[in-house]
Amino acid sequence: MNTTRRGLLVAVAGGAVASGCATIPLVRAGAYQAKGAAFSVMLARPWSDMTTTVPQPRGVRVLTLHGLQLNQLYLAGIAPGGSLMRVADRDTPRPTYRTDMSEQELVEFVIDSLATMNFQDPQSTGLRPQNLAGAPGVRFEINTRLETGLNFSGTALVARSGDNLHLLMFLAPSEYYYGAFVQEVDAMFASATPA
Amino acid sequence: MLKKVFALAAALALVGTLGVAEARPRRAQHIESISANSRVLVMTPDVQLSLLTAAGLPEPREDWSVSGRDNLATGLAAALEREQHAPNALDPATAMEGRIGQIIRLHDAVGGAILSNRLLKLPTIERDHEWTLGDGVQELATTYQADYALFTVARGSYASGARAAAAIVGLVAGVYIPMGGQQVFASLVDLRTGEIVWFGFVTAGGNDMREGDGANALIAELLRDAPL
Repeated sequence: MNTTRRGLLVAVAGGAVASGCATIPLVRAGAYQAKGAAFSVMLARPWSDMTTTVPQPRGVRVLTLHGLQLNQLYLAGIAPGGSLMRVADRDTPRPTYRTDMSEQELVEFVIDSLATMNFQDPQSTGLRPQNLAGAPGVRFEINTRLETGLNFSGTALVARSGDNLHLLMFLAPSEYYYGAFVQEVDAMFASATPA
Repeated sequence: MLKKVFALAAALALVGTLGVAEARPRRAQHIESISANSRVLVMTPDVQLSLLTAAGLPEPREDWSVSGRDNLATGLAAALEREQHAPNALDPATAMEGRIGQIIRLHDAVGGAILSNRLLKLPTIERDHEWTLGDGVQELATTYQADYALFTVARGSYASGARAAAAIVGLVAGVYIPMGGQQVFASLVDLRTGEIVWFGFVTAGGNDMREGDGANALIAELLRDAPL
């Protein structure tokens, strides 16, 4: 999602809120199972659920603490043919999940999805095995930046569960915001259990 | 860059149009005035102004942006001196490399989050939430020998003559045609902690920042509740 699109979505959503048509749900601390995902995680603190405000593809939830500009937590259960990012127009190529993807291709699926959101030159590093809710998966770090030049860091964990892809991903500005929350996010990833 | 400008302009305009933000700037109640003789790094205001054409399209006007920027920069420095502080100007364009550049960019993101939160009240943001840039700001403090940094962002448009004429015709016909508007936000950052100790937002109204007097009046309104 590029800056303009995000700004407009925020503006539109803001109008809805101002006119009393929408509220942002609070996700309480504790066990949380995202709709569409067959796993749950332990949240150490409450999060704001932006999924209905900034619509996401089926099976993808986006939470934030202080606003999408400062932290984004994705929890997803993606069916074959599904995507991680929603694109507003039909012309933009949309990375889709296939059941025959290798682990490397799953990482590329995430990275390509970030590029579709207009994150600049996203890169994955530190690929390593890690279970997600008992299923073998791949953990990796992400380095990218916004169009403004603000560096973003991220960490993600993907694993197949049956035909679906399960994903946990956290993104935040590299300056202060990523480091301030990554340990908590680490523990959250490790807490994932089958629902 | 243009996308960023229009996105921020849209958000600022919406905050102003919806009246979600108070007409007067707001600051946390617990904030006390900063110490006398504080060294304040005044970031050159980030100003993007445009001409609103008859069709309602914003046409960027570099000359207006430069006038607004320079008038606001001069006025802010004078306002700080009147409050017995020591302003020191920094053009962010000269400091966008390395960590300092990241902190300047992070301020834009945090400012955007603060504005967004006035529209979309996040349930995770408490009323007394302390917005921060983190302690990386100490690099600004040591590099520029400053105690605080003052960031200012302005976006807006002015209606063209044709647009104004269309608005009059529209008025007769009972159709509302927006005439543009300008919004300004500013934040004061404690360079020891990174905390944003004050955040102010105003719509320009009749104060034209392209003129010195208008910019000074706008600054007076913007800083009315600043802890200076």
